[in-house]
Amino acid sequence: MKQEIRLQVNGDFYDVFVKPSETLLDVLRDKLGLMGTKKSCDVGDCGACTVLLDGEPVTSCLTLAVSARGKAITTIEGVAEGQNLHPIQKAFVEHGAIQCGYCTPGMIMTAKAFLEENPDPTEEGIKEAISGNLCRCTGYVKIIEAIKAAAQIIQEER
Amino acid sequence: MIEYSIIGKHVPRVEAKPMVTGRLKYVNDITLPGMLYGKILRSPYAHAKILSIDTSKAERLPGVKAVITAKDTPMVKFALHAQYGIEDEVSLAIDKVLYVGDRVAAVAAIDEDTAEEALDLIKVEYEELPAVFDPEEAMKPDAPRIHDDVEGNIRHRILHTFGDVEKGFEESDYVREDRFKTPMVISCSLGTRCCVADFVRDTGELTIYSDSQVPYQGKPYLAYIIGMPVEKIRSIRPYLPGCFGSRISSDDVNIISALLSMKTGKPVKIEHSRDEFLRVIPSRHALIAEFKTGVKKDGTLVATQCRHITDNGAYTVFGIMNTLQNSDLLDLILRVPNVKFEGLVVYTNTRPGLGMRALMNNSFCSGFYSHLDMLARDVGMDVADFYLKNAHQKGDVTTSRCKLDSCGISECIQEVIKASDWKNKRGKLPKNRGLGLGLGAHTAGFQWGGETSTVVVIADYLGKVGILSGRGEYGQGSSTMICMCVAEELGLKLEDVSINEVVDDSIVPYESSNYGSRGTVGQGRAAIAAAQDLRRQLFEVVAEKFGAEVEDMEAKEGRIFVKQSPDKGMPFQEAVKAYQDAGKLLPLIGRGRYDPPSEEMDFYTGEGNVSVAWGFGAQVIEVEVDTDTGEVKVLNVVTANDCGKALNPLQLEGSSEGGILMGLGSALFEGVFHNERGEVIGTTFPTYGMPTSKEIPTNIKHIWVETMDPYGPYGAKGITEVVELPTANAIANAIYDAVGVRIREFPITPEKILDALKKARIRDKREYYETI
Amino acid sequence: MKTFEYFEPATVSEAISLLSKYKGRAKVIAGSTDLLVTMKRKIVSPECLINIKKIPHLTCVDYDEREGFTIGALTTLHALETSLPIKEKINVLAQAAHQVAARRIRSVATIGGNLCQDSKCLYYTRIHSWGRAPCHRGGGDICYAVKGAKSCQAMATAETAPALLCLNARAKIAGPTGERHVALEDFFISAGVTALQDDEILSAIEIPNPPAHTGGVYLKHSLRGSIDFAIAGVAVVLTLEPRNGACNDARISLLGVARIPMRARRAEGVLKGKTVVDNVIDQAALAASEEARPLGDIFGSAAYRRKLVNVLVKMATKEALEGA
Repeated sequence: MKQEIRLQVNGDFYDVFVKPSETLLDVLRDKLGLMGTKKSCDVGDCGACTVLLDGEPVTSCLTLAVSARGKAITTIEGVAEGQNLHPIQKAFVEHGAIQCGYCTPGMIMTAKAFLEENPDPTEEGIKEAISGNLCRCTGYVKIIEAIKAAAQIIQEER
Repeated sequence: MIEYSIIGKHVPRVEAKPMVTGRLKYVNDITLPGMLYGKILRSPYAHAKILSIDTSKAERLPGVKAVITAKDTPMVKFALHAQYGIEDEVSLAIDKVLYVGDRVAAVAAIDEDTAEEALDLIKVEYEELPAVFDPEEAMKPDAPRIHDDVEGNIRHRILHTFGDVEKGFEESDYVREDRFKTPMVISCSLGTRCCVADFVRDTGELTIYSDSQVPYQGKPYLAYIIGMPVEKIRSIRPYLPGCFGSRISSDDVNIISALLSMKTGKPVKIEHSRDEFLRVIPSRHALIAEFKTGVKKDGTLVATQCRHITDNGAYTVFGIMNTLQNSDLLDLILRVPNVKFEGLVVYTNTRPGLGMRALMNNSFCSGFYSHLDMLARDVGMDVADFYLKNAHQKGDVTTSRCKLDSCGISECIQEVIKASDWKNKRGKLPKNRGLGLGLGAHTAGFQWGGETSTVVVIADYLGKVGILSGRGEYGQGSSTMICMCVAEELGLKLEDVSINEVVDDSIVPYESSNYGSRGTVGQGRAAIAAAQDLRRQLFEVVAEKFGAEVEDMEAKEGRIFVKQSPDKGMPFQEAVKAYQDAGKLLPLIGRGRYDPPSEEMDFYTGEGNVSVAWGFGAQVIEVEVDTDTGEVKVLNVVTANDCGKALNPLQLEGSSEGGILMGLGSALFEGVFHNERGEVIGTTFPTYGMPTSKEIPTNIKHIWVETMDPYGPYGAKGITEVVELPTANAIANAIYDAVGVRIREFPITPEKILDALKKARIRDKREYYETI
Repeated sequence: MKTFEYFEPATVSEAISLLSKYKGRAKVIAGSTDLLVTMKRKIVSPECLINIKKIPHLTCVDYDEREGFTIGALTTLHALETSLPIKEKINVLAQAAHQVAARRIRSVATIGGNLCQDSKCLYYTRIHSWGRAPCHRGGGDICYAVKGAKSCQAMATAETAPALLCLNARAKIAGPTGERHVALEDFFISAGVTALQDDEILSAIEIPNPPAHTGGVYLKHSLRGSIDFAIAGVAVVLTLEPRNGACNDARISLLGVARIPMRARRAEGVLKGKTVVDNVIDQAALAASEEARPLGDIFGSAAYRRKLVNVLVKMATKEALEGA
């Protein structure tokens, strides 16, 4: 039943043995040791497991690992550039947008994809963009502030 | 006004960087070599006898390493209040199941899929019994008896009286009665409960990677339940993915993973699925509260009483504790000379309850401050003036003996009234918009008697300071708070201070517990004491060098120096070296201990000053009601909280924003409901009603009222529970102000509003709306 | 999840051969955001999954002035919500696609998958968790939602369906004997059950060119502002007579208030041929609310859902008028 597949994650290639029924989320965490992507509901209701497939946000708990072959997968571990945090990561830290931190990786992946398509977003636009990612701790306010601030920094850096 | 270097500033979390890069390790991320995965088989029936359990097929499934039932456990009964003769829970059901989801058996297997398949292979024969799901039904004489030793299903009665309420009602000019119902509400932390237990056969030692909020206090309890000597258990607690009180008991995941690990001799991980978390794990109890309050014409409160029916669920767990804590709420904010609180803790065949952010206080406040809002209207008073007239002041002692050594509730009310422009806007908003005032108060430094916090700080040869603390870090910012206190006292920058990531009870000093917002006062004071102890040792060395006295020394901006002559001093690292060179005892450590002035809560009356400090909050909320769909949009929120001192406004704001959304959720969306078989329907985030970013208020304004509590570190109190409390009742009051309907059964759904509006129109054919 | 055989056919005929071979024991996936949930809940455990995502030509938005639109069944909802031709000419579909779930679902969820999605009945989806015997949808002979019901009573939840019904869409189906077409109205049988046979796949949706002066709107009411399925969803498409503004054609479709996405024909009849003013809209909205056959559940009673239909039809009709 198991087959060997090659996955491209954060620019690195991994060869793993998987059953067709294994989700991308489980393979990332249990087989590749990339624990940054979180499992919170495992049925696509919360967005904690959001990763990027060819730059688009997807729900990794509802993605079969075998179907992710040939795609560029980006996880939270691939966002910073060495020691340099991405502006979104920096903004989350500075604006107090993290409390327990469990929704944070999914939020950052969603924000990253969103800002790449919408470099100058409104507050309403950000609210809409993160509406598929649940958070219980923050009430979302500082997350929205952080993403707005990050958008500005990214624009300035360009 | 003291100028602090770090205290009072907006400080990001000390663990923020590993969190944003995905490197922070939570208990759910733990993997050990050879680890097995455990799953729990749960009862499909609300009340049934277990006739037989056949695990043979499950045991034979390849990949299954153990299957356990009650006979594989010590079969002891346990409960939080065992010393009062209450022991009603078991690790795995022995002969009866008492709620849908009750634990019946458990499996450990090489992976989760196999473990789940094995659950399906366990054959249990049940004989269904009549069940009861409502506490008032459960108290009726013909109701099924849930626990053999408890008549009428009433587990416990609490009665707190002060003065004479009956006389008080007679003397009142106006008396009002209201009945409110709030359902069970779930903490919904993004991480579910999880534990990894690792039993090593040749040493007989068990290491628990636990998610418990009570790792030290809970250990003897766990040891007793699983049948192990307590000294053979080591508890390691990493970061937890959110808590809100849902982990204040070493139950379920901790007990079962330990038992499975003991049986297999291998590490066993149990992580609840989201379905389990929403369907079966204990959370905030459902409440039926009947209030009666009497006032004089001028608004002076005379008497107030509450008949408080706690839906205890199938097992007591925190049912009594939560009711005891609610027993002091009637006159915690407002002065009332005659008080009566009658608490009934009643079994039903539904899931038990635990804690969730201020325990059952939110449920109480949702009703009580709606009741008082109506009372103020009845006597023709602005409710803000009514509250201000009766509010407690600093120094008051309530009828439950709660000592309010700092109390800023009046200031909180005044601030929100001013900031929301209440006096001008009330009654003058556009149609279907309304303003509501909400109140709340809770323990801001809980103590259940004999609590103690201890902290150790260690200075190394590089001049860096490490902290060992048993605090809980689940997102509320305790680690950062402790680091800030230590850095402030030692005059260091935050990056020169670090704190243990993991609470390993084999080396981290004892800490009582992590709940009741006791962290700020308890752990803050202990951290300050530890830092001052270390500092004193450096002062001695440096003072001697410069011929000064210890009392003349100061630690600031990275230096140890003589206050009056700052050039007489040296950098911190040099001072540490000087200490070493002087041949003093190494390592250089500071020890700190803080025992809050303790008073136990009486088990039958709830009386006793059960918190070293009390927190208060007020909110004014503006809502808009869509009278076509019944939907409520929360527009502006102004929130003022008496936090003693705002140690870190960045974290306080974040907690407050989260608390407001949680309160909003309990007011408008959330609630656990059962069908006629006792099954929970809301077992997913969408069906439960967990708020998204689209549900947040348009605007939130924060005001921090600093009353400088005499016990708090720098005057601070822990108010991350208080911040949630005023929201639901403020929203309920605002809805009434907007469209004239009062919904007394939470959550206030659109359909309930439409039904109420329809009834209002039918009852009185005029165009205005009246109260239901 | 129970494991399964897994195939990624490169052509439609390959996919169909596999379906024929597995005779009902195989399921098709593409975006996999629907089926995997049901599989994780142990409601269905197919022996074989056929991932058709890699088949070319099934992802496209083709527009022709005479023929109208041909939308490949594998076109993602995100592609639909951002497609300029769709937003320009049949915006009601873009609106509907936009309101599905969340962006991370729409990245991969397909229009075909959305139309063929399984039942979301609160009982069906909890059958394994509650330890119950299968219901009608699961191959059993009982309904837990409606006592004594002899067939599945679950409400329809396919979000793009009302817009497509109002646009007179038809389904293009590929099977072992070739292609066939089915009007979308005849495509839905009950929640999760469509006109597709076990060895067929939906290959495209065809939408005729809407006449000039046509405006369409899709409005949805759900518990929260994101992620949720519709408690009630309404699409209204109006074509106006250019000379006097009267309504030449009105198509109203409802979701979440009947067992299939339905046309509210009585309500349509109220609008057709009339000048669409407030009291006419009110009458149409009332008719629609009476035609609906909602089931009550924790999200709202039947009466509440009817009220929502009334409110939504009113709002949607007014908005559609402006766009026409």
